[in-house]
Amino acid sequence: MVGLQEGHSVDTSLEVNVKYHRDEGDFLSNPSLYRQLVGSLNYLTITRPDISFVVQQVSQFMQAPTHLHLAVVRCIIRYLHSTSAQGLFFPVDSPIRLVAYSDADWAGCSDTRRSITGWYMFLGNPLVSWKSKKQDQVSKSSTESEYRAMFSAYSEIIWLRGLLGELGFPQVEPTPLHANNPSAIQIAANPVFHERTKHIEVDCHSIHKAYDARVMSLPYISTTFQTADVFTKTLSKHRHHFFVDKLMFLDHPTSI
Amino acid sequence: MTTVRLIIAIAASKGWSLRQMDIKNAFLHGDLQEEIYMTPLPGFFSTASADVCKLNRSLYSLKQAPRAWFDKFRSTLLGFSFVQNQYDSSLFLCKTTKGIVLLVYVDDIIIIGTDTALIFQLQERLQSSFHMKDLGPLQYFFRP
Repeated sequence: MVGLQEGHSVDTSLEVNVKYHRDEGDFLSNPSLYRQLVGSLNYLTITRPDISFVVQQVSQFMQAPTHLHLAVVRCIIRYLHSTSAQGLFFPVDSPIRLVAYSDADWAGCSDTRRSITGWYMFLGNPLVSWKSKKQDQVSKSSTESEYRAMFSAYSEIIWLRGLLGELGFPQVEPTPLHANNPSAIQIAANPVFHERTKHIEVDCHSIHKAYDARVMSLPYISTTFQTADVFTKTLSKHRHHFFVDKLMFLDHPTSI
Repeated sequence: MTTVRLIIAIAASKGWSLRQMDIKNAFLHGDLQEEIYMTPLPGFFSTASADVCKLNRSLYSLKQAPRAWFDKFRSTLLGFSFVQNQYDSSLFLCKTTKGIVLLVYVDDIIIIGTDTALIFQLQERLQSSFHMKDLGPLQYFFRP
């Protein structure tokens, strides 16, 4: 497949702290292969949360991919090659309790200056839902981008709580949504007028309501343990493995 | 797909059984709401004829085939006292018994439940309504 058989295996799917741009490198004369590969990788994110962020990154260049972007896709495939035995683990006797984490990378997209939302949710121990997505507008501050990420996670929490209730596992306790930005937590928890947040749409502020109604709680989590990082940025090998481990992503006897 | 992972997580945690079924030629089951005619394929009539055929059932590649199939499947399940879930319309729950959950993606079905006998009973009822294949315990599930 695309001359990868002889490729070396790699430990992480992207280089750390490298930002990719729209117009770097020569354009591919035939972009179809790139589009097919990224399309296939998109399906893989259904079972591979560890590549969600990188696939989100390479999806940005579908319209006019360059040789450099294709090299990144090759790197992802090589990473998958060396980790093909890993998969989500669903343990026995896990409590049916929803726990959520959200994070954002401010102005993470270097072309549009928009931020990247990352969140994921556990049902007790196993990971059941996650997202890595570029936000649809520019945020003026990291607090604002975090707040938008929390709002996106909040929508998923409401939906999952409803679904779990229907399935006979009503969530009596408020669902904790862990975030590592104290200001965003303050804004969500405390409906005080803030000079710097008045332009944020009204719908985002429905988090207040959920907080007041004890549907959600908003605990602070330090950046060291903020696993949602893996959905908003590329990490060093050590950090990557630490997070992949936390996400209940384990070696399997069978391959993907 | 989140619903699928959620269902698998619950089934694994509670030790419930997970079964998988597949419907053969799913789109041929649908009933058509519209009057549709097609020119017969060559060789259908022994002599050349200008006649056209009126369709009684839906066929593959009709644009209404997926919807006609899902409507048919849905009404059959509602007849088995299942309730369509408001949070995910491809999820059907049966609350009268000890809880059976049925999840459908086009023609692939996952069934989970606490009671294996009840699941078999449901599988038999489904098999009498459609041509189905029992794929046994859930092993491989892929739906875009």
